Amino acid sequence: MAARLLRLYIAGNSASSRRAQQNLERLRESIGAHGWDVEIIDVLDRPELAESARIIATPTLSYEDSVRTRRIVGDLSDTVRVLEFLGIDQEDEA
Amino acid sequence: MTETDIGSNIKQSDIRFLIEKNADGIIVVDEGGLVLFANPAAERLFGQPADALIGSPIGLPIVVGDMSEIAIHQPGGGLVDAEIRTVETSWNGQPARLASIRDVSERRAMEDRMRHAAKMEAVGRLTAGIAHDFNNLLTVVLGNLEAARRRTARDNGALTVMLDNAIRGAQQAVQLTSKLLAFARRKPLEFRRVDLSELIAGMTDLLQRTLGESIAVRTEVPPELWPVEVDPTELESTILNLAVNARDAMPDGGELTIATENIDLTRDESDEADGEERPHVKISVADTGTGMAPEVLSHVFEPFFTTKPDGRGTGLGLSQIYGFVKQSGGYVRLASELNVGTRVDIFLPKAIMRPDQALPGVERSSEFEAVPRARDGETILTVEDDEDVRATTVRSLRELGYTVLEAADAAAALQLLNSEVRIQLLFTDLGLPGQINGKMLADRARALRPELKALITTAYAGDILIREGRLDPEIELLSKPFTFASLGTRIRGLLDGGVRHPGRVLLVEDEFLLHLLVTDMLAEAGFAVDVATNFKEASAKAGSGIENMVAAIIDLGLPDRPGDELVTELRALYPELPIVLATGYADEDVRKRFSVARGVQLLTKPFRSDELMAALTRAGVRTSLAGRTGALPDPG
Repeated sequence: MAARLLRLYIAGNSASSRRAQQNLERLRESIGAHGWDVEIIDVLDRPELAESARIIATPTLSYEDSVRTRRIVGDLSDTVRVLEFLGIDQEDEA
Repeated sequence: MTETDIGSNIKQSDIRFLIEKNADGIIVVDEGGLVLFANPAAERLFGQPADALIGSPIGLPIVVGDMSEIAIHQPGGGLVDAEIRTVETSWNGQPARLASIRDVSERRAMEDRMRHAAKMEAVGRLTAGIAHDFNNLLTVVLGNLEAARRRTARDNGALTVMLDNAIRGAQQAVQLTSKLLAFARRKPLEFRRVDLSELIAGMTDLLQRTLGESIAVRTEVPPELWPVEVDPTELESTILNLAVNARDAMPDGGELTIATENIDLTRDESDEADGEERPHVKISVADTGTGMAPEVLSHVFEPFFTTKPDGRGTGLGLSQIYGFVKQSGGYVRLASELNVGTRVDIFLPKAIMRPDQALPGVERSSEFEAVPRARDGETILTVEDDEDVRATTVRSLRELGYTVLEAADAAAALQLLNSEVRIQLLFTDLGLPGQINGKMLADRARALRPELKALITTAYAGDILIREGRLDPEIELLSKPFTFASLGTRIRGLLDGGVRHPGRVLLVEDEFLLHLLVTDMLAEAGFAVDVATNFKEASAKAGSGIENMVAAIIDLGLPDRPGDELVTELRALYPELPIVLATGYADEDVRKRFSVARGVQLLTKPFRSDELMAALTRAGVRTSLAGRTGALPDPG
């Protein structure tokens, strides 16, 4: 099975950007890192990527899926909701 | 009544109105993260019209607890800090989320400025502590070096050269600590009313010479500039400092502009306590140099931060300016753009008309070759707890010819002051061990011996001496470390001078121009002045007590009640108070009544300053100018 891709869009070194990165890191540890690729995109450095993805707010976590790309906006502190969004049942994966 | 009841009573159009007028942005997002609705405030926040926003894949807002912080990216690169709150709702029968978004950019910027100010405050306290201890050590080093140098004065050999080098080194260290104290807002400043146009005009020559030919110096100083109250020496060094920074930013030449402007109302936004907007005078120093990047700009006021190559700058220039301007009640703003230039705006509060501040300036630390010495039998009591500093000071004073008594603390000093010993001057450190500090000691000493002169020395002006950021005018202060010459000059000046602050005079005069004139005359003679414009006001002021009141000057023709009745009333409160009754047309009756009263003098308008002083002297006031103009106390 191909690795699933998560993209986190952040803006520089702001407090919310840092929090989102930390929360995502914690999530990866809890679900096991295998099978997930994570790409972090700073929209201040790569505005063209943000524009083509139509990012209008950060932090945004985007689950790149060939069928349907899904996004959430916020600092990802609500772990349960984020996992639910990713479609991961924590019991199964663990 | 339940919420649903309220809801059902509100018309659909009313709800629409509320949403459209809401200051917060409101958007509705479906479960797939697409925008379904945006109100006008949201259009402004996102920088896009609603029809462009609707359908945008913003993503599902997930907020834990109260709210979450996000950044909104507007088309074209604009960035808005915002707080987002969400509630679950339904939209056209489908589950959806309603998000309310608030712009917090302005608040965030303000918080950043506050944090910066707090950091500067903390660094300032730390700096002050270090500089204070350092100054005590330098007093010992410099004093002993100078003493050794005087002893080898006739020797032109290697020893003299070494001592001179050591003295220069110590003096540079003194300048360094003085800069640190300036940053920490602890430098004793000598506030004076300053005409900025004069000060700047006086500097242009020096600036042009300092900056060299490749830099053009331009000044834009409008007429009618308000006066400010600052330490002129510090302000000059501030402007020179900024000019040197500008020169270093323009290695290939350019233009330096010094501009001034009256600003009606402004306040320091980074200072929460600085509530009201007040009139200020702005001094801008602008260059056309390399400019600074934002990350550099945010650090430039911190001590020891420098971008100059090693050894070219101490990193204290701007810190010193920051501290000096803050201590003067003003603030500094910086604007800079890479490859365009830098502008520093200094805002100084407009001087308030206060006649008692218009005292003649404190004498400058002298650079005379000949240091004034003691006259026969003059005795100084030196109070200092640091043994090394005391020993150095005592030796210097003895070398000047004074008889010196020593005390290590206030208790020992008071014992001496209570004895029969003749003492002309008390020279005390501000920080003394025990309950009584130098200022309290000076107050008590003067209570015991009113004729005693007092000079306080300190390495830094602590809160005891500073009222609202400026030196207490009652205090004679010599900053540590001091040189032999400045010690000698200050002490001589105090012993020779009359009382610098002869006291307060109550001036009761309804004619505006006349009260300005008389206030000036009194201030020139060193008096502080309390002004009342009518009987009622004067009576109220006198009734509530005027500290250190030494005389009253009353116009006979007051608007509400006759001035001579005020004389009677004042005399009831202060039986011995010397009073001058000023009149343009005193009839014989009044003259008769008051020419016999002891301590009341009639003065006919118009009068000159020397005539006023003479009248005050005849009434029983000690004045410094009266002696100079040759007026003698009336023997009658």
